[in-house]
Amino acid sequence: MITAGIDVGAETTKIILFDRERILSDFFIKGEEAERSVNEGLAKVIREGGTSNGDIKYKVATGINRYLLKGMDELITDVVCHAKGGIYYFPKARTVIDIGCDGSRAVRIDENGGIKEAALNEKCASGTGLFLETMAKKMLAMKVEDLGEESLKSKNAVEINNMCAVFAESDVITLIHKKVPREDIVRGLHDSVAVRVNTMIKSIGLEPDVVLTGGVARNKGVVESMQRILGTQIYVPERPEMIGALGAAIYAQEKLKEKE
Amino acid sequence: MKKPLYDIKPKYDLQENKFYSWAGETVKYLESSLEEGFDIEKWAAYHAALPVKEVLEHPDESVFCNFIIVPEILRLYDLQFLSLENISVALDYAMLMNECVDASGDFFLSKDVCTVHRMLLGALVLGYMPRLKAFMQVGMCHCGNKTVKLFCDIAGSEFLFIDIPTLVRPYQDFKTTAMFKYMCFQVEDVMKKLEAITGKRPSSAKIKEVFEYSNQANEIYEKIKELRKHTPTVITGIPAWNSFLICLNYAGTKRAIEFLNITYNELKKVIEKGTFPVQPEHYRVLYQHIEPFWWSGFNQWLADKYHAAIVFEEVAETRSPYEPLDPARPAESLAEAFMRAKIFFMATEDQRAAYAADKCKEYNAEIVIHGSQWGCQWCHGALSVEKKRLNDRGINFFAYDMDNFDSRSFDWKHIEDRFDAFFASLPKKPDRKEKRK
Repeated sequence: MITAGIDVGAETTKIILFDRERILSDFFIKGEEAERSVNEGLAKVIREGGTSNGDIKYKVATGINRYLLKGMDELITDVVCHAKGGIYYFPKARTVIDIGCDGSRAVRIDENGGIKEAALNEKCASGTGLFLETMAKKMLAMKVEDLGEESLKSKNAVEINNMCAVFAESDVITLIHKKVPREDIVRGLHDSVAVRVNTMIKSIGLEPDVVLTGGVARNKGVVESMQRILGTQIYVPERPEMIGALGAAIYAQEKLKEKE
Repeated sequence: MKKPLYDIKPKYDLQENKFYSWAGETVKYLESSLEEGFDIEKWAAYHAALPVKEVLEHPDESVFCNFIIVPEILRLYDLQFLSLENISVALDYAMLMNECVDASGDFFLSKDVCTVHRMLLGALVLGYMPRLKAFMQVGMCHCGNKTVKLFCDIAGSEFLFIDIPTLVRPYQDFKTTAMFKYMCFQVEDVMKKLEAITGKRPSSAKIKEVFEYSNQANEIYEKIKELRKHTPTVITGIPAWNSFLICLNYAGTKRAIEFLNITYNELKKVIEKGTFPVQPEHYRVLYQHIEPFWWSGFNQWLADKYHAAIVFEEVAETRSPYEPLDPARPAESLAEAFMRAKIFFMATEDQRAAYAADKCKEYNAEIVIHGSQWGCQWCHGALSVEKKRLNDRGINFFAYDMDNFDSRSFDWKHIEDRFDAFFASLPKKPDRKEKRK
């Protein structure tokens, strides 16, 4: 009973081919147009999964650009997908936090990955992957994938305005001019992301175990900041950026079972 | 008219601007279309456009006020009533809301003034809102208190004000002699001012006529509300709310009776023919505060995407339960009616939750949705308290921040995600059988 989960985010497209309890194949691409990347991705996962298009019984799409896609069986919100994907790897998870490129969301779940409460970031982009990417490239002349290691070197906390991404840029410029060590600035940025998430979590309550998903979860510095500021252990799956697509594929499995 | 305090000329001529054209053309089109066959959406739009058209044509015989007013007081002097809600809906249909909001920018209004009052100020400055005989403020809406007097100073219009000290239910607990006397004094004072600006004094026959029309119309409105209790419901969202607007806009006139009778009879046919607006109806919603005015399709979106019907709106309850006006004691009767105005916004979260829970039971609703208007001090509060109280009673509660008058203030996809998450968290959709009330 093969299903496909497709997560079309602001910057990346992820696809998982899933059969009952296991992942058959997957696809990840950055920066391509949605429809084209999904077509390319489906072709790849079908080929690598050793199956054919006709074998995929249900396709579910999620992500901010899901409405651009044609030919999907269902479109669902990221919150549902990250809940189901998070609990796949961590059955004891009861809070899943997704920090993606353009948004962050937190969901409290039951033992089946069903949603109890959900919260999404307010209209500002601070506290998202895009915020960190912009800071890394524009302000600090760094690769975003190096941010984590850099912040773990920091010994001093630096406060960065966490209310607005634009004001945060201004804060960072000031710190650079004051010759504050780069690792401290990066840690300050990670702390501001964690504080934003913490504020968001308060509206739904934090219940361990807590899982972090989305591409930003690869950043060890963000994970460290979140553990410190939320005051709890944070679990991160091996490929956190794929969790939305995985959750969509699992949801598709459940729908097929219901129909049977 | 008085001399305006400020020399601010309207940007557009009243009878040559887009809004004026829109009102005339829309009424003409809808009247013709409705003759071919009744359609509830068109009927709702008609009752947004018609009062506005009439006010635009006769601004010197019209008074603006918010929906807490007892409009019969204006009808005694043959004045047209333009409600804040009515002109806001009309500006939305005419796609002029954003332009009006932007036009208010020069006034440096303080940040806590909500968008609707900014929009109306902009509408006045642009010339879409005419310079009326009077602008009235009723109750303690702080945004209104900051702006409505300004409208008068710009327009050279009379400013009328009625303070309602009893905005927390039940008003009977606060109906002390002193308070009642205060209300009667205010009503009589406003009546004297209306007499001065119109040159009319209502006769006993006139008072009797206006009050009797009002009483009859409100009886019909209560019957419409009873129909909404039917499962599935007969009308949802903005079209439903517009039947409240009919009651409000034409209060005290024969037209209210005629229009409400049409509405009632058409809604009865919905039951007879089974043409319910939301099928299948999986969720019944009590809506708190206001829906996005800039999106008249909001309730249809809820219906199409989630099979959710709005069966009750708080804002349409300000005059309920209605008590008949007594022509033998006009000022006192009007004073009592003002005191009965139910502004649940001012209640504590516990009171609001208790009221919502009672109404959910009455209307068989299992969800309360709260559209929190940015800048409106009347809808904020500890919604988490209300949520807990309702959850404890088995009622699901969802609150979201919105700007109901400026669609540019937020990203709709983001809000939609939150709606998706909320409905995904609900128990499996109930299989709802038809229930007659």
